[in-house]
Amino acid sequence: MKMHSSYDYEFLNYPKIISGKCSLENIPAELAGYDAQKPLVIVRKSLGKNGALIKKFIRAFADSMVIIGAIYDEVEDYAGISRAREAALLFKDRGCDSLIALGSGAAVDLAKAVNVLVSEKADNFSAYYEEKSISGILKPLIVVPAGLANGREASNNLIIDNREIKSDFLYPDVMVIDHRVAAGCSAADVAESAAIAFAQAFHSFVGNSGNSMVAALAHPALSYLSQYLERGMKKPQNKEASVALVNASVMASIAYANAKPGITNLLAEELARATGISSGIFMGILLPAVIDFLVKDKIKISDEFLLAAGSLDAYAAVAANERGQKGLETAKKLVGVFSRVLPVSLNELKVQKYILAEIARDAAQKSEGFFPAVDCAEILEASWEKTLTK
Amino acid sequence: MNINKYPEIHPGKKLFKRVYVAIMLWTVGKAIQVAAKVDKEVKEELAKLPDNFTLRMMVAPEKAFPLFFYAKTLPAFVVDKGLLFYGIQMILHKDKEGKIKYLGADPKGKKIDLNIVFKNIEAAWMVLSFQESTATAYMHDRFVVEGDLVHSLTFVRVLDIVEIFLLPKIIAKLAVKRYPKWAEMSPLRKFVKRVVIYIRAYTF
Repeated sequence: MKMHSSYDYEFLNYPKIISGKCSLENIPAELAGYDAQKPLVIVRKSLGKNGALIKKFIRAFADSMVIIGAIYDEVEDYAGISRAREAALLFKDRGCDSLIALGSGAAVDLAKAVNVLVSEKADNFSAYYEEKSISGILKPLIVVPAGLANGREASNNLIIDNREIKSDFLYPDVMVIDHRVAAGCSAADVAESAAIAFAQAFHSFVGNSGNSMVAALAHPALSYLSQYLERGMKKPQNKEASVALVNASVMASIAYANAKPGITNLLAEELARATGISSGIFMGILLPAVIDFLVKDKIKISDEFLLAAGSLDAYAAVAANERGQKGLETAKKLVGVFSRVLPVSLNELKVQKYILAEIARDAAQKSEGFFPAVDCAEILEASWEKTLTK
Repeated sequence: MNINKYPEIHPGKKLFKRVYVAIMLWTVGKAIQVAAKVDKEVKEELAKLPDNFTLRMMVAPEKAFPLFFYAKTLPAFVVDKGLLFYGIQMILHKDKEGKIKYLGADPKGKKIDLNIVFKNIEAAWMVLSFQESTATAYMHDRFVVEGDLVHSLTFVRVLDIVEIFLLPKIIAKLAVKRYPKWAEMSPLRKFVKRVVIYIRAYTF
């Protein structure tokens, strides 16, 4: 295997991950490590309605010194300032000292937003939108991700009211991955989360071949995806597959937070902002076109990618000089798996064609010139029509 | 916003698991005391521990597991000799002469040299109900060790031998790292010591 030659890199190794059987029961011990014993729990409304899950979650705190300040279950698909203020008020009123986000996506964004409000004693985020930075360590935040992830759960950013705030203080302190929470979403949700995890891991590999720490996390993320995606989509309740896929999502998220942004993610986020549709669905649509574009552009990809996304047998069976190319083919096959249940073209989602030029321009601008607007437009154009057969 | 809509929650207790863990720690503690007297292998292992050494196995957080309600009503000799289980801790002491003594479940006034702490009652339940072996549980981060790790390994080896004596093979296989072959531990030795340990542990 070709070794990376560069040792010049930056990598922030955060958060702590606890995964597997009885992980929920470890939360009190983790909170005790931060001298905290009264968390406010923020839950997605859909999960909050699942009485059995909430009961199991509360039961995990039995025989500990932890008192749950409150379970705030008003979060839907969108994290907004009014909800953040409500939850912050609840946090203060109950004398809470920490936060737990149960479920992924907006629940995590909202928990991070509440954490900024209560720790920084702020009332809104306008100053943070205008480049004010978070001044110090926030309250302990534990995230218990569910099957449907948006790829920001283990990262250093939050999106509130469609605006992004980025700071290394926004990393959660602990990620707790337990099958009782991870299992229990639909095949489409699994596919959407897998598309995000794959895009993050793929671009962490492609854009950061010199950063061995990023590769070290992207590698298992891709391996888990290639091993468990089929099974996870067939049986989303499967304990092993659900935990493996959430692990993939968390690892890809941490790798991507330390990597350069990828073209798929930039375009998908701009499309999501413009249309209100989840970025995961756009990533599923864009990925085949992005891979084709990379093949056409003859971009060099690390040999290790084939080992991660394929298998040891596939890696050993291919000549060293063909492994990069074969890796991209394997990536396309893997994308084909989750594309089966996701829309395959922007046209199918009724995205107006006239907005594509603006999306390409905005994405190019966000990449600080790394991806030219022409390339972005070409990928969007290729994704407009049907690119894969279901 | 009506904050009463989001009540404060006190998660409660797992009473059955508490009692089970207490009984198991009590049984194991008393069994180690007896095994140190009757089995050569256990004696040799425990000889590696320093004299005046106190070891405790417990479940965290300590404040969540006070002594059982009847602990204060028990006569002193019952508490000292650990004739009844009354808390979720197991304290063993090796004195100057090298004798191993089970000191019950009350850590008050005792200087603990080695503390083996299960992170939560569920972790203790997994190990003591033989769903996970001690080695696997350590690998899964189910407990932490405060003190000299070498001494804790000695204790784990002793625990494995005692579990082989106490439990039928089908269960002991789940609890120990490797079940000994016939040549390593004859069935006769095993069955005789099982009877002796059970009788002595529960009688005096």
